[in-house]
Amino acid sequence: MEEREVVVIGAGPAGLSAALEAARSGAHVLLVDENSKPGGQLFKQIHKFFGSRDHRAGVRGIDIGTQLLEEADALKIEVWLDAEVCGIFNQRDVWIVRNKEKSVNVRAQRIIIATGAVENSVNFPGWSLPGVMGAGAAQTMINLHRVLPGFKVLMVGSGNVGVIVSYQLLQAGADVKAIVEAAPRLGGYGVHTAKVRRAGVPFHTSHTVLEARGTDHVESATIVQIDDKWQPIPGTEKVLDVDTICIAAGLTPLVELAFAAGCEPLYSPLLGGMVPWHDASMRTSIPSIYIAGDISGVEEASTAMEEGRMAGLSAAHSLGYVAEQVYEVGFKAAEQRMLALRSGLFGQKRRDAKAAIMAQTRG
Amino acid sequence: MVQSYDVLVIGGGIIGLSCGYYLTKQGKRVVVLESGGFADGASGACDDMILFQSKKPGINLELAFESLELYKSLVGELEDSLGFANYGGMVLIENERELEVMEEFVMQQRSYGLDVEILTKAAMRKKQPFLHERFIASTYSSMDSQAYPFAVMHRFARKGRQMGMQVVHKSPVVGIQKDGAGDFLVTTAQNMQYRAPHVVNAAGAWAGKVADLIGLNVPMEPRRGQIIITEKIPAIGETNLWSAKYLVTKLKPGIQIDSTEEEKRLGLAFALTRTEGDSYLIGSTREFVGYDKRTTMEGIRAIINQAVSFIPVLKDVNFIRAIAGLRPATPDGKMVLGEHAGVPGFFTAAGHEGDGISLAPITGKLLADMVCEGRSDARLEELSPNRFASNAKEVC
Repeated sequence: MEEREVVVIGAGPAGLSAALEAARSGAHVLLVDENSKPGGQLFKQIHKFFGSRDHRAGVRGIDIGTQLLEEADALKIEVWLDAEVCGIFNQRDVWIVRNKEKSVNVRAQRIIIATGAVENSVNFPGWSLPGVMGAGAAQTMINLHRVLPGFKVLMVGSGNVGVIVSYQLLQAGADVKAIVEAAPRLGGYGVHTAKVRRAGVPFHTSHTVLEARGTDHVESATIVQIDDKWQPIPGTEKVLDVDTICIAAGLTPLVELAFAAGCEPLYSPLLGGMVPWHDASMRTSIPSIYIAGDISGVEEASTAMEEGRMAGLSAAHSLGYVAEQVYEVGFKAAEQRMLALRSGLFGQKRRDAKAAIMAQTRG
Repeated sequence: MVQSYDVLVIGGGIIGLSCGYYLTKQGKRVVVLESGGFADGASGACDDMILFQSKKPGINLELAFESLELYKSLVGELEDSLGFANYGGMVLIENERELEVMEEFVMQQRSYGLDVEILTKAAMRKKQPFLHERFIASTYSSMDSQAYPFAVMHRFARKGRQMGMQVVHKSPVVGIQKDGAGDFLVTTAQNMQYRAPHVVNAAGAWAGKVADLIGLNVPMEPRRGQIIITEKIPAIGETNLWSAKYLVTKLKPGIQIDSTEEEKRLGLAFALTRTEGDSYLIGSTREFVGYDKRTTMEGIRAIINQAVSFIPVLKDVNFIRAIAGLRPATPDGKMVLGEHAGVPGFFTAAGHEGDGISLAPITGKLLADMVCEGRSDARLEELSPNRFASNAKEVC
C-alpha cells in the first residue's frame, strides 16, 4: 500500500487550489484526476471572471487554469491523470484505478474531495435523441475540442451557463434560435444576458421545451408557454427549426464518493441538493476528509478556488504544517475573500445557504 | 395516542410488504412499521433472481414454484411489469468433482418437477460464448427468472395503500407488550403506539432482536452480501449465471474444493444477472460481520477478480456502484414462518437469506392464510419458529 499525506481528488479549480495550498504549507500532496488533462472545467471557460483582483477577476478561466498548472509544476506536486477513484474506505484508504489498468490503494492522512458537479437533465419526449445535450457538454465541444455540436440551437435555461454558452456558440458559428426560461424572469448576470440579446437571440420567459422531434437526431423542437403553476398553456406551442437542444438547467453536486465514504449528508436546495455537511474549514463529518468546490454546493469557479485554498490550508494545518497564528490569519483572509464573493443579489442567498450548513453542528 | 389495527407488520422490506399486501387483500386493517425508509435494508441491496436451481429439493423448491406462479399473477394484480423476466439460468461447472455433485443434484431437482438439464461444453458455450475456457459443462434451466425488487416493493405498497394499508417509515420498534385484553401494544422510537391482536415480525436480519422484545427466541444472524453493478453493456450471454462451487459447498460440505483463504473468509460465490436496464449485477460475498453493511475494498475486488476470471471480457467493463445488504441467515438455512406457540398471535416471517426475492410472494400469501384462517399447513411445520423454542436463548 502506498502512503501520502494529502490526497486531493479532482484537479479542477477547487482541487488544484487545495493541492497548491497544502503543498505550499509543506505537506506531501498527491493530486488525482480521472481525465487525461487537469484543469476541470477551467479550460473551456474562455470568458473573463468576475470578482476582485484577489480572485483574478478579468482573467479568463483558461488562463487561470494555465497559471494554476504552472504553480503545481513549480511546487513539484505529484499528479496522477487517468486515475479514477472507486471508493474511500476506513476513512483514509483511497482506491484508485490508474489508466484503466492497475488498482492502487493509497493510504492518506487527509483526503480532499473536489469532484465538482454534474449537469441536470430535463426530460421531455425526444430528450434522448442525439442533438440533445448539456450546455456544458456543448461548451466542451466548441472550446476544447473545437467541434460545433450543431448549427441551429435551442438553449433551455437562461442562467449564466445558458447565456454564456449561447454567446460562445454564436462565436463558434452556430445560430442560437431561442433561449427559453421556465421562470418568469431571466436568470443570468446582466452583462452576459445583454451580449446575447444584442446579438439578436430571442428570449422566451415562462416557456419550456415540450418535445424534440426527429428520426435519428433532433430535427425540430416544440416550445410552449407555461402558466404560474408551471403547466403548459394549450395553443401557445411554437415549433422551432433546430438540430441541437442544449440544457442549462443547473448542476447537481457529485457527492457519491463522499457519501459512500460515510460523510454525513445535508439537503440544501439552493446549492444543488444533497451535499456533505462541512464546517468553515471545509472539513466534513469525517475528520480526515475535506471537500471543496461544487461538491460542497454549486457555485462558481472563483468560490471553488477559495474553498480549495481553505481546505488545503486547513488539511495542512491539521497535520501540523501551519503555525497556529499563520493559520488564523490565513483562515480569516480566506473567509473574507469568500464573503466578498458571496455578496450582492446572487451571492447573498448562497452566503445564507452556506451559513445554514455550517450552523448545524456535527460529531 | 394509540392507533388500532388488525395486524401490525414489523419490517417494510419485500417480505413485510408482501405480508402486508396479502393481509390487506384478505380484508385486514394493516400497518407496516419500517425502521428506515423505502428499500433501506437487504431488499434494496440484493440481486433480482428468482432462482430454482439453487434450492434444495424439498420445501424451498416447492415454495419457489408456487412463488413463481404468484409473481406471474402479480404482474396483472399490481398493474406493473415488476421487471419480471425469464432469461433462464446456468450453473457453471469447473471440474469432474463438481460435475458429479451437480449431476446428482439435477436428478433430484428433476424428480421434483424442475425442468433442468446438464449441458455439454459445446452447448454451454453456444449460450455463453464469452465464458472462460476452463468450464467443462453447465446446468441449464429455462425456469430461472427474475424480478426487480424495487418495483415489487413499490407496487406492493402502492396497491396495498389503495386498499387501506398503512406504511410508516422511520419507525423503529422499541417495545412490544401484551395488554390485559390480549392485544399487542407496539411502541416505536417516536413514542407512537400501535395496538392489534396480531403481530408479524418481518424484520429480516433484525428479526431476532424484534422477537427478543417479547421474550421469544428467533436465531437470526446478519450475513453481509456485497454486489457490484456494471455500466450498461450489450448482452454477453443468453442466461443468468452462477457458480457450482457455491452450490457444491452448500450441498456437500464435506467435499474438498479449492478455495483461497480470502474466498473462504468472504464466502465468495459467483452470480451474474442482467437487469432490465442493461447493466449487470455481479455477486457476491456471504460474510458474517455483524450489522456492518458497508461495502469493502476487499469484497469488491474479490468480486471483480472472480468475475473477470469467469468472463474475461468483463475486464473492459466499468462497474458503477457497489451495494451491500444484510441477508437474514438461520442456523439451518431455512426461513422462519409461522406463529410462536409461546405467544399466540405473534408470527415471524423472516430468515430467507438469499431467497427473499424468490419467496416473497408465497411467504406473504401463506402468512396471510395463517393469520386470517388460522390455517397451518402440515408441510410448513419444518419452517415453524417453534423449532428453535427448545434451545431457547442459546444460539442468538
